Amino acid sequence: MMDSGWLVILPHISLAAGGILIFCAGAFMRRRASDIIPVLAFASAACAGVSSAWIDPGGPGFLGMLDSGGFSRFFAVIFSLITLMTLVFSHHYARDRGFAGDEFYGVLLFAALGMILVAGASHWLIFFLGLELLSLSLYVLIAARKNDPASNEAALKYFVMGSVAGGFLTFGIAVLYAVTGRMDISAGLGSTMTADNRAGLLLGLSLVMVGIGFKISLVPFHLWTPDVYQGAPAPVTAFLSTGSKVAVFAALLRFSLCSHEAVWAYMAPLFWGLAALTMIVGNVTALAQTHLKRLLAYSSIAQMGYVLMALLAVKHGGASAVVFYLAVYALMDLGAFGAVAVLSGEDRERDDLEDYRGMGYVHPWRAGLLAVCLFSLAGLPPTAGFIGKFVLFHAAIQAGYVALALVGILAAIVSVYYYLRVMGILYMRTGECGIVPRTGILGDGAGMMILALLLLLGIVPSPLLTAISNIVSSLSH
Amino acid sequence: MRTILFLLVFLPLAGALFHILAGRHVSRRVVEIVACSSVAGSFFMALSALLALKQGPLRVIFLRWFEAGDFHAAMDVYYDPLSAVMALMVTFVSALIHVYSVGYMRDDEDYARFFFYLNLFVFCMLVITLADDLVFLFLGWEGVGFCSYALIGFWYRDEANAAAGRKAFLLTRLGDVAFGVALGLVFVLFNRLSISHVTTHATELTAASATVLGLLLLWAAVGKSAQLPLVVWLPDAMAGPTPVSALIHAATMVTAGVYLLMRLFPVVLMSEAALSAIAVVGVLSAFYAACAALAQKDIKRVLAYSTISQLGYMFLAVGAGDVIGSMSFLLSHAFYKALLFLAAGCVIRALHEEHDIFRMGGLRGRLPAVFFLFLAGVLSLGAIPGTGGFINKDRILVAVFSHPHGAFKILWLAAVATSFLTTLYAFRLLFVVFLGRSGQSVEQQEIHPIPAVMTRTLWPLAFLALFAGFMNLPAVWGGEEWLAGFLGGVPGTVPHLHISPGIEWFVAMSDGVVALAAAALAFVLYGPVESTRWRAVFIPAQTVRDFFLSGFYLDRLYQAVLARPYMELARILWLKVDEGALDGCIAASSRTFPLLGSVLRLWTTGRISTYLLGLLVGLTVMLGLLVIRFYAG
Repeated sequence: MMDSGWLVILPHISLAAGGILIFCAGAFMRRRASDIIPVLAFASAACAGVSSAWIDPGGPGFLGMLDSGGFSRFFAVIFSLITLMTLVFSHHYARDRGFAGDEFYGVLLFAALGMILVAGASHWLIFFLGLELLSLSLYVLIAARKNDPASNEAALKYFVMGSVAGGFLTFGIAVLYAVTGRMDISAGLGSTMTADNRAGLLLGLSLVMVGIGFKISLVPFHLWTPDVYQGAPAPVTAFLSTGSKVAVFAALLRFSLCSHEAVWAYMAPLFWGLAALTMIVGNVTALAQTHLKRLLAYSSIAQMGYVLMALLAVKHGGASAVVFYLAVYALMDLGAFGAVAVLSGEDRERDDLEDYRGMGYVHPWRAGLLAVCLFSLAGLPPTAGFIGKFVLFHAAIQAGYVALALVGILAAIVSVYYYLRVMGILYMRTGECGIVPRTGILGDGAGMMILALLLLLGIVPSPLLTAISNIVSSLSH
Repeated sequence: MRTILFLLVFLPLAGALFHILAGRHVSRRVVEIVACSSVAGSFFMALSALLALKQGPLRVIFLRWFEAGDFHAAMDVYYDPLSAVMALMVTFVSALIHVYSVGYMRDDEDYARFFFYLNLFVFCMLVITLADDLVFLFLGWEGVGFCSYALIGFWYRDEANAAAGRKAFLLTRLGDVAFGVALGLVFVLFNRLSISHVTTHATELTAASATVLGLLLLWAAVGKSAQLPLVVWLPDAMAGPTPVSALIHAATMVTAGVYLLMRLFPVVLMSEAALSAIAVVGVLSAFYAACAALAQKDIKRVLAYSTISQLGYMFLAVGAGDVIGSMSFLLSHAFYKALLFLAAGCVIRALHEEHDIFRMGGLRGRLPAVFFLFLAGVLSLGAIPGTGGFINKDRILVAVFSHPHGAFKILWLAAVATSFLTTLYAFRLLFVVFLGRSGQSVEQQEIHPIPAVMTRTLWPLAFLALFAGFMNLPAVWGGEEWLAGFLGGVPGTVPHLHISPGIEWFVAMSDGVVALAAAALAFVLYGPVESTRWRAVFIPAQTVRDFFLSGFYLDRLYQAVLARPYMELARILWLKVDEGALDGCIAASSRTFPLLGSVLRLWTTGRISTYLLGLLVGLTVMLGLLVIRFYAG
């Protein structure tokens, strides 16, 4: 039994060991550190991905703390991929701007570890520890450019907001423990609702929802998002907007699947309101943005609204739609922010929309990556975003949330305007946008891979959808 | 078997992908080799699959594509004798034409684009041929339409070519609409979109729904196969390179329409009305196009009208309930028509892009190799007794003549009359181009040397054009009807017609006599000997000739009755409705939303206190709502 237990935490060990080794290399091998560190980081993230993809530990999990099922493994693979892509995108970016030290790479790996813990936790304590590890690492990553005031301001804002939200979350977990007496997530949330524990359960869950809502930036907990996304270095924004949101949403999905019918009946209307508000406010505010990173930030807020809408259908088989969309969303946002990273000049970030004028003709491939990601975010075929939106709305309508789906569809129609506006700037006008230095074969390769995957999933979604529905059905029993 | 079928379908696609991704970075020779070998490989796969087909039809799923509710779409094939024979023909003719194109396109700089479309076309055509899922089939159906459009307008710098491509695309789209509706109807009726499922459950259809479905399929087929009333695009499609005309507009794509009817024949069989409609459309198109072909001056337009006419025979055979007759004729036609087109391509190339047959003439001595190839094609097209064209056409005529319904006797008469015209225009073409007094302009010109690869690839086609009919020689003449026996397992087919020998002899004799008479008349009128007297008797007045030459003025008719009112309507909708009314609404909403956006934007003040307030307000509202529900419920 013990053996299979250790197999469960193989990805975790690989990431933690990688992080520690990188810090050691930074401390003791000062001269050759810059060559070794990226390789180490890449290797340990790849190792985590491979071990979670191919090694099925089976068994009940690790000491009742970590889930070892397909659900956690699937997300562990996604986080490993996100980390690998972020490493690739930030390799040149960090070196040119002088923050490619051991702390950047090491902390990135710890953040990845935090994500895997959050998505795989079956125990409140592990969930909390994972989330705190993730948050602490992100504070450091956002402030990676030490001399840049915008970067520091973003980190500070995220830190203050994160601490307050973390406080709510901790208090919520404490209340939940107090009324159910269980630290095990599924046992606690699945316990039947009685007159005695009803108030406590709902209070605890609302507090937890504030923490989660902050992390996945649901309206009205979203206000930090554009500031932080704009201030952080572009590869970190890519990491932040995909990894951290997907991890917390995976946890939220687990909570929803575990929760008792009666509890769910209370929470569903709240989710309804949050989803509607998020879709509307996210998309409408994005219309007025003039900076690409802020625009993408509001877009990512709206995207979470769509997923939350499908989460309502979770008791009617909507979970696989949610998981599929999370995977697709990770690809799209990673690609979009990654494109910003590879299109930015050496001295400053290319952020103002006007800076992208005619970029489609100067850098056809990199601008093409951005264009396909925007197409996909807008949900236009033949990209993966179209299929993703299709399964989301299908799930919501099947479960009877027709009005909410209608709100979502209208919001999505409005959103097409700002996505296509960027496309117009990229391709319809010519202007002086300047040539960007090469970012190395790796960055371009990662971009191509994202592009190919988005198109492939848009044309042949069936294999992934089938795999996901198998994973989800194993989780709900 | 699974691997063989996979390679059969996807090898040409791999070739196409290679051309589009790497075609511009490798030498011309590499592109040519990849193009030809991918299709040739596909041909060998088709051959081995045919030889391995022992235990009846076979359904292989390559990929489950997408699912939504009851709706499934998959990339799969349904491999039965019908599709096996069709796939073999498609890959064989395609492979030869690819090799021929290497010679034909030798001086063209845009070879990578050309072979990309050509390979992609073969892939799409194989999808039509083999697909089981109708959605997958539709993908191929639209794909061949697209490739046809792109290849007709291949020399797009000339405005006329681009216009011809557009015309072909738009007119075939009219048929595709019906196919789309038919797909929806099939899903409603059967709850599945698989051909194998539909054909085995076709007997459950009611007569009314079978008729509607049959007519929709007919309309779809009419668009693709250029039958009346959607004929006008095919003659214009001759603007494309000649190998394209041979492959797409003679041997393969245009037969996709009639092939669809054969593939779904059990559905059509359920409705008398649909069958009669198919037969009537076929005969009318055959007769119409034969008349038009008689008056054409452009060598390729003669062949184009001839294709329409011969496709009409295939429709007639399907309408008479004889799928095997139709399929045999389709194969035979593919061989001799591809042969004729490619030989015509040699002539055109040799005479520096000359298309007018009356400026050719006397080429027999100067292009002997091409002459004998062309002769083989003309003999088969003209259905001279003994050739493949004759044997296969004879089967169709027998099936029509012996059809229990009395009205089919009239169709038979019309078909025989068309047969006369067919032989007449076929030999007219031969005599004028090769035997006639040499035209003035050609006399002075040097013959442009033709690459040997262009003529040598035609020998197998010539052989098959003349002798492929013996695969299906009727029992009366001591044949075994091998092909009919092979196709016998396909649902809805009648392998042997079981007609009394008397009728069979009568039909064959009448057809043979008619063909020989027409050939003789052609010799008198257009042969090497000047015969003003006979010409004055038989050749009609100028107005009639113009009427035929223009294809009965159908183009002008459509322009006046359909296109112009449509353009007028479109103009009104554009200026008044769209720009006037709709744009106003959209402009108003496009002002409102960004305004709303800039108001909401003010919420993001950049100050942490506002953000924290948001957190608190959110929590308060959530708790408030929960409290209300707590006490209410």
